[in-house]
Amino acid sequence: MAGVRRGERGVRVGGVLLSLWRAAAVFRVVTAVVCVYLVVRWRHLYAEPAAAFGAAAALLATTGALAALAWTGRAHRLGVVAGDVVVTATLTLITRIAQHPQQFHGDMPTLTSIWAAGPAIEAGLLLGGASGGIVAGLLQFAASAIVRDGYDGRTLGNGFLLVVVGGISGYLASITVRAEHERAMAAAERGRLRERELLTRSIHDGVLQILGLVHRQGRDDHGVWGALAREAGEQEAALRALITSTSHDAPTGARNITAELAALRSSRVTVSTPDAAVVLPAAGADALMAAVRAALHNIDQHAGPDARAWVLLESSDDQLMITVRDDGVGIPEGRLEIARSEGRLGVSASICGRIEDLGGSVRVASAIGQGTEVEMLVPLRARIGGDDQTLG
Amino acid sequence: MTRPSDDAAAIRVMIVDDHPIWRGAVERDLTSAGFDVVASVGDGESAVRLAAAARPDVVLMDLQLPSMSGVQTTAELVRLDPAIRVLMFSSSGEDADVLAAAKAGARGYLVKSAAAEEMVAAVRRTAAGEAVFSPGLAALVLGEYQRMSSGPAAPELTDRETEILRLVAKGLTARQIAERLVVSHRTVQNHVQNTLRKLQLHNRVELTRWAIERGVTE
Repeated sequence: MAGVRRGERGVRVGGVLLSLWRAAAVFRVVTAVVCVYLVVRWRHLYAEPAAAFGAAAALLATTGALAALAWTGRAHRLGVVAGDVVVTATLTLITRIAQHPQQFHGDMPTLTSIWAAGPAIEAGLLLGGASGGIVAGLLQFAASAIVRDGYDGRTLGNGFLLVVVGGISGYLASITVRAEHERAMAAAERGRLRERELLTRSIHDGVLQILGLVHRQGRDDHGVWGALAREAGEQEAALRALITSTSHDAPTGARNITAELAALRSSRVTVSTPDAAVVLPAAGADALMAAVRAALHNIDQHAGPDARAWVLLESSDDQLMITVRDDGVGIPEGRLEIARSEGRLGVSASICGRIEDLGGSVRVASAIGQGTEVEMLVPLRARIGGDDQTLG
Repeated sequence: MTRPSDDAAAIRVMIVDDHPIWRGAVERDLTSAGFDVVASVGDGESAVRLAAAARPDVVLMDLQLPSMSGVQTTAELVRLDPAIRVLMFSSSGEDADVLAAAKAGARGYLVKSAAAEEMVAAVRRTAAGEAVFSPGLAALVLGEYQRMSSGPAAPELTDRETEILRLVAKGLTARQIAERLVVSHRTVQNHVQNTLRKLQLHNRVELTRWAIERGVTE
């Protein structure tokens, strides 16, 4: 019964319900023109032409008033619809006076003919659900039955159609209005979510600011406050990484390398990426991220306690390059080759192996005291081991 | 409008940040380092309103502002005074905003987690006309040139500019880059500034073309 709830009787209606009322008004106007045309055309045939013309004039007046009310959304009232039911039934009954008995018992339609379907439609709109329209349809059917002194097949058929029209219009009105209501609710919900997102963002920003401030003001203290300040710095980096990684969404089945790299940020690791999401199929993304993590792990293990790391993502149409650089102690010349020849894996398997499986190549540059730079180059058209999809 | 050099007079700074505590801390640091903090405001509208009277050399701009965004504020300040030097100073992961502000005319970017001395140095360098680049900004600019390269009339980086931006993006300082490439510190700075200048010029041309295509006139 959303229709009733939404369009409180006695109040102006809007939205879908207003459109339906206007459609009903158009129906009344068009059918009124048809009825009046028939009265004028058959003016010489009536027993009482004055009664027929009077009824036609009343019919036009009723239609005009109703259309004006419906168009401005003010016809959605019990008084208006009940009045219309009574007027329409009365005009239908005048057929008894205007027509000769052989006419109203025979083939000539009543004065109101199809125009008389209006109240059933309106009652449907007013009450919502099938019942209102059916009741109004039955009343109108009763009026036609009185005109004909009972009913025959044709009266019954018309009456049945009236009831069906009333029922359908009520049912359609209620589901349309409910759909409109639900759509409005969904829009409001989206608005609330959006607002919440903005709020979350601003709260996050506030927390980041405070953590950053604590870190900044207390970092030079050598006691408890200094430790607290450094902890605040760690937390700030972790929160920033979390925010960045959740703000880029990749389609299902694909993975967003830009966001996954951003999640590696910490107080010691700086991650720099282009603005655009670089999206890879899952298998390729896994291998690539594992290689990057291995490179960062190496820095943790070997570059020294104060070493910082920088990760850079660059991508073009046909290739993708990730560079992991640190400013640590560096690797002595030849040490990597020695490790490999001795069967110790380290860099060669965890980084080179994975990247070479992707059809790419790895370049390691290092010098004592100047840190290490690992450059991973992956072609985007290459096949990933076992996977038929291409990277990118 | 003439700009005082580093030493001749105190550098005039405007702080735009919606966080009062943070604003206060930054103001203290800058004042004790000898800067003249001429305005300290909490929103973009106030910044635009006060800029003409306060005549800052450098605007320290938080990108996350309440109503008028940091990007809009930057664009408006640069429109009013093309010589103004906006240094973005921001904390959360807002890459798209950083890039947009750089294209709108900001001269550099600094993360808020930077130490006070770093910030002071960055403001001084910005006042001197240098571009303050974080690795993040360098990667964004590189990505933007890459993205534009498929379009018509796209600006291009020279090989040297690309090389230098990549080194910045990998975390090397201007001094380390100068050593590695055996060029002067000044040369490195010029190359970095050029990459931003070309991007801003292209952005203005694009905006003008966009306006003309839609029949927008002053």
